[in-house]
Amino acid sequence: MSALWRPPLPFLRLIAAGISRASQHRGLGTPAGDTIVIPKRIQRSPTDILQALAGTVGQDTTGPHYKYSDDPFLSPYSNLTKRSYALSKESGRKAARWIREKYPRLFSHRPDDPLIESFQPKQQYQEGEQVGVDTLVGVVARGEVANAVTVYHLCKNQGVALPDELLQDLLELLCFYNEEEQVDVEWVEERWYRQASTTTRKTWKDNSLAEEVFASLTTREPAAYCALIRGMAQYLQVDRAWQLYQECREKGIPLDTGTHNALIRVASFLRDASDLRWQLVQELLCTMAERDVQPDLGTLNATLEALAQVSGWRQARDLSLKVLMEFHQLGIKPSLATYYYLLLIHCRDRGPRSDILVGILDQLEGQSFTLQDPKDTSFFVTAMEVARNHLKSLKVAERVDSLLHLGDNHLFIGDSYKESVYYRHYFALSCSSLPIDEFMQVYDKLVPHIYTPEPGIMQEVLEAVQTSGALHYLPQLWSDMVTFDHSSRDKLVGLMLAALTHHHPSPDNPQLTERLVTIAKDIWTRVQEQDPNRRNRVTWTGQMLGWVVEVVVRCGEYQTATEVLQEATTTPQAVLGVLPAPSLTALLSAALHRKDTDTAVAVVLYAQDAGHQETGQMAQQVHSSLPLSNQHLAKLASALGRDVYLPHDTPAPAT
Amino acid sequence: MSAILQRFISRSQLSLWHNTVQWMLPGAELRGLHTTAIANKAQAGRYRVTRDRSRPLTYEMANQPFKIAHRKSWNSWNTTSLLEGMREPETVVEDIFIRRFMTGTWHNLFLSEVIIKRQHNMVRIAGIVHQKINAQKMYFLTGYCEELLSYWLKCPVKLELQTVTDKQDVIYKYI
Amino acid sequence: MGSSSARSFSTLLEFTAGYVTSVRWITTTGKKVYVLDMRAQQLLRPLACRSLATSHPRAEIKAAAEEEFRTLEIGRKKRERFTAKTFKPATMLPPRYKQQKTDQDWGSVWPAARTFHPATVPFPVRQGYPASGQPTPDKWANAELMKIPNFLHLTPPVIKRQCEALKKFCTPWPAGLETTAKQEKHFPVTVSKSSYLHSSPTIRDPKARIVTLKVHLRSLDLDYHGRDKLLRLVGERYDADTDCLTLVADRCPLSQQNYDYCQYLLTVLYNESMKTEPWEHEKELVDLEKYVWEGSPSQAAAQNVVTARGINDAEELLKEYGQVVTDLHNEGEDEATVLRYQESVMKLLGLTDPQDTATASEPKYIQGERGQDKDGWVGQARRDWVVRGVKLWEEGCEGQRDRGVLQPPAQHHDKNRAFALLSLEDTSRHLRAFQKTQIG
Repeated sequence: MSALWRPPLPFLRLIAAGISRASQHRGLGTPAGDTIVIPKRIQRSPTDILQALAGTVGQDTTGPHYKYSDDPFLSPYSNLTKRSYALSKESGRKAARWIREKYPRLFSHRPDDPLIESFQPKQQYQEGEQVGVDTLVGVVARGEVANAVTVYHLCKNQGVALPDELLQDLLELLCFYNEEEQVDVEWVEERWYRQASTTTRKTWKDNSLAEEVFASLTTREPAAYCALIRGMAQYLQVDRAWQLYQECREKGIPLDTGTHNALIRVASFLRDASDLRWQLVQELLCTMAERDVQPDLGTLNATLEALAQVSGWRQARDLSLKVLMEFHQLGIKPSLATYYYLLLIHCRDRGPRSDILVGILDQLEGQSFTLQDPKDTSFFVTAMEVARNHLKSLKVAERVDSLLHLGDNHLFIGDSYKESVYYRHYFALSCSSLPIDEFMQVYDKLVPHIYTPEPGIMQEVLEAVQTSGALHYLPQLWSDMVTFDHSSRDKLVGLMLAALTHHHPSPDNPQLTERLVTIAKDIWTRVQEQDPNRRNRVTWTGQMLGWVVEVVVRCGEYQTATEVLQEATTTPQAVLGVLPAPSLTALLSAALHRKDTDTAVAVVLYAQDAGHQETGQMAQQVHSSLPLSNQHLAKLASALGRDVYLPHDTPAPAT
Repeated sequence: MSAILQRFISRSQLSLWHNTVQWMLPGAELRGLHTTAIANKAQAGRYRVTRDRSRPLTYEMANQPFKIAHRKSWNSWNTTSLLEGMREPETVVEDIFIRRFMTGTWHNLFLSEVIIKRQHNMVRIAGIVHQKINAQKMYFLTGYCEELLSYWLKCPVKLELQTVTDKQDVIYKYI
Repeated sequence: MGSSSARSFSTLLEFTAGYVTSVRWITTTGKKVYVLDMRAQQLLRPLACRSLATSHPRAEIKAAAEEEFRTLEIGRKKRERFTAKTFKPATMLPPRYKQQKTDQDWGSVWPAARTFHPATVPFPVRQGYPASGQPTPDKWANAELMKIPNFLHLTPPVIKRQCEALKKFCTPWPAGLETTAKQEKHFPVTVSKSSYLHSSPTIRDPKARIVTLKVHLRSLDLDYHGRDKLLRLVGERYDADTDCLTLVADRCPLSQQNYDYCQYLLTVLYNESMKTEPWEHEKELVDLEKYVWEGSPSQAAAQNVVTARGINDAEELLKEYGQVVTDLHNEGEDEATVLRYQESVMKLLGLTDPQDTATASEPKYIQGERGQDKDGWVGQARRDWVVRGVKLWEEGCEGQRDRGVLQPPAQHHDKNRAFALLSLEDTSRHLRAFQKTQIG
């Protein structure tokens, strides 16, 4: 029986006496007055320890995001690869989900104890399945819209009587989601990468299931009206919503705060002129006051949103501040969305400068936020944009950045688009404000894993590097450009070449010279080898080729220069324009230096073709410096005409 | 008839011998009865040497099974073989399944054995993969394997792969 | 561009219309230029050149300079044989460790347990037995390094940091419980149970239900009878060396139930051992848990000896003798107890050690006038007394065994042996009797 007793592994030792586990205890032999106080155990949730440990991990900028595999082959660098890798992984997961849904009998192995819900397949409801009220209750509680619709229809077909509360819940579900199944919470990447839809078109489904359910309610509770009005307002079925609202007013049906908020939000669609819109909003607010409906944060945000939509109006700024003050007196604390709208109203492109962002940051310094409004996620992007465009202040931008990186606030960046816009502004601002060395530190920190610069930003960076003369950053920038797929953009390649020409080789920087020449050669080979069927191709311009020639010649790479010239001569239709004179001159001098007659002559001929004025000079130079063979002379003569370049005493060649 | 008799006699003789010896040496009755050719040569995990030394071997292949724990390590790490470790046979079968699944899903891409490490209830699968397919496809396969295996094993599964450009990198020697 | 050339250009264009697959207009500096597909390009090259460049008679010379006569291709070009796509390796950036600074925060790079990856770990490490003529295999594509568990996620600074982060979940050790003695004083009962973690999808382990309760008997308020009864009840569960009673419960499926059972068991044991049942008075000699000298044959024998010797005031002697014999039985035979017994017996019998070291300087015998020895006994009288004493002893004892002839002590210089003969047999007899009283 219990004959086997083995000394257990001392994993846990509980010291207790008797049965009680109170914090204060007197043991069997404890004399009076000598009580031992055992502190109570600190309650913790299942993941508290993990979160505490996770808090010790900082940010590492040398590696990709955790969702990617940390392998050099599998690390993304450009925006396209980041997006595509993340979405490919997710599509793999979706494929697995599909297989499980298709072959559920293969997944009946249940080794887990206790049962883990997340690994169980989601319940699907088919035709002819027996469903009851409880099924619909469960489905609605879990927020599964498509299943709810199916089960509702099944219930109706089977004649199951549905109570009003259940119908009300179903109505609220359908109104909130507009009968569309949301992207599963599990598909994180899809949610992260999808664009926030900013349509102003009506998307509400007219005469759909929601309205049917509404009609089928035996007693029309105010809650039903609220749900329907809110849904219609959210999906911009403004007319019907307004109609229902008027109906409610006439019948005296009380509506709640949320409904009024929804109506305030769409007030702009009901009136055209700015002051009329504001008048409508005021009417709604007064109605709320009359009916004793308490305003909340949603009301504040809706009012400010309405003002933001008429932000061209002169009075919008003052009104917004008054609204804020009034709500502050009511004791309603603003959220990030409030500040977002304030920024929209005050810091307009064509409006006067406003330092409201500084005031907002003073207010928010050191706070951790919780999500209170869907528009909270737009605050940081807008703030950074204001800091860059409106205020042009790096100090403010850094304050915004430090606020974002405080604690869990980084979640308020929203989605990938907002993140890239945010960093774009920060990056561009840093580029224009900071000296080049400090900026490159910011560059190293952010690029490529946190932010990949867009071509426009890269252009700014290149220009900054060029103007500051810190050409030793060019190799890094070029390699980054190659990885970010910018090497197929003409403008950027041209800028890079132009920057390269600013370098003058000297004995104390041979390494740099070598690197820059490598860049030029790489550009040359890359463009030559690019797939002719590609859509985005770099087309050589004469100017670019000229720069290439200049750079390579100046830094001693003669061979490439001759190749370039050859290319330019043999396929002039692939080149837009012609090589400029300075580069030809440079090439010529190099050719003369190396006594390369063929090239020299070719240069002169090309120059003549191009119609440069210096051709004559160049021809004379060639003639004077190098011995020319008859062939060369013939070519030159045929190109330039005998009398243009030949000195008078040279005998005419025998033709 | 005589044949049967003969057999009967010989069998009885045999049993006589057995009776005398059996209680002295247990197992003695089996000795001396080789009905097949002697088959006590170890062949597991050994590769035949070629004449021109053209067979490439990875480190895993080059070290035979008796070198495990000396020059080679295990491919499966879990708590089942410890004292009072539980669920050993189920884990072994799951490992077999995972290895087949991975080798089959990543077509000719694994250059090393599939390494399975279990920690708490997480299964971490590691290995060396050849860069034959592009990274997007690798990510698709990663997501697919992780999700499908987690549905089967009811554990979170993580793939930690190392990719290699050249197959020669894993070759240890030629025999 | 002359009109003739323009016309010829257009006719040629019509002729090559069948070959032109893509035509793009590119406007540069106001001039419209045809940029055609590759196939047509070869035909139209000189014309295109001409259109780009300024018209000059030189162009004809250029054409003349080209030696080859281009073939006019009519009909579809022969489809090229399909060749295997040459796999161009993707441009890969250098491994990650090249960007890592030497003073980076390693805990952020390797935050959790992870399979070794050579591109992230910055130091060059090798593992494996080298093939002949080869160096030890390096970290790249090394499956052995990937197999072994590494602890790169638990470097000492990281451990320190994590401990600091976990401190907020810990409460201080209660004041007043610093030493083991204090702990035992206030909390004499220790209950322990274990939980088990396996690398599997289930968290169940049947061993987790086992609950152990340990208590020192000195903490329990037991009298002599209670303690004896408790020890009889618990049997093996008591460890005499540490005075610790261990109760292990695993009969219920849940540890909470087993814990309750342990509590119940301790309560019941205590209460039962404090009670005295009526049938406990039926305890017999064989049930005695230890040797009691009072009323034993040894006492009778000693009394005999005393009376034989004629000592009147022998209370202490007897008491001492009784104590020593009790010790000998209860604590077992060892050097100390046997020596004490020997001394006590010597005192009882009034014997002195002939080799007594205190009288080493003295001669062995103090021969008196009549040949008396130290104690006043003379020769045979002493011998007679010893024999008589032995006989008395024998009569007092139960078991009769032929002892053979006992040598007089004068001939035995080895004091121990004589008395050992006396004591051992008696002792062994008593021991045998005592063993019978043990609970089997």
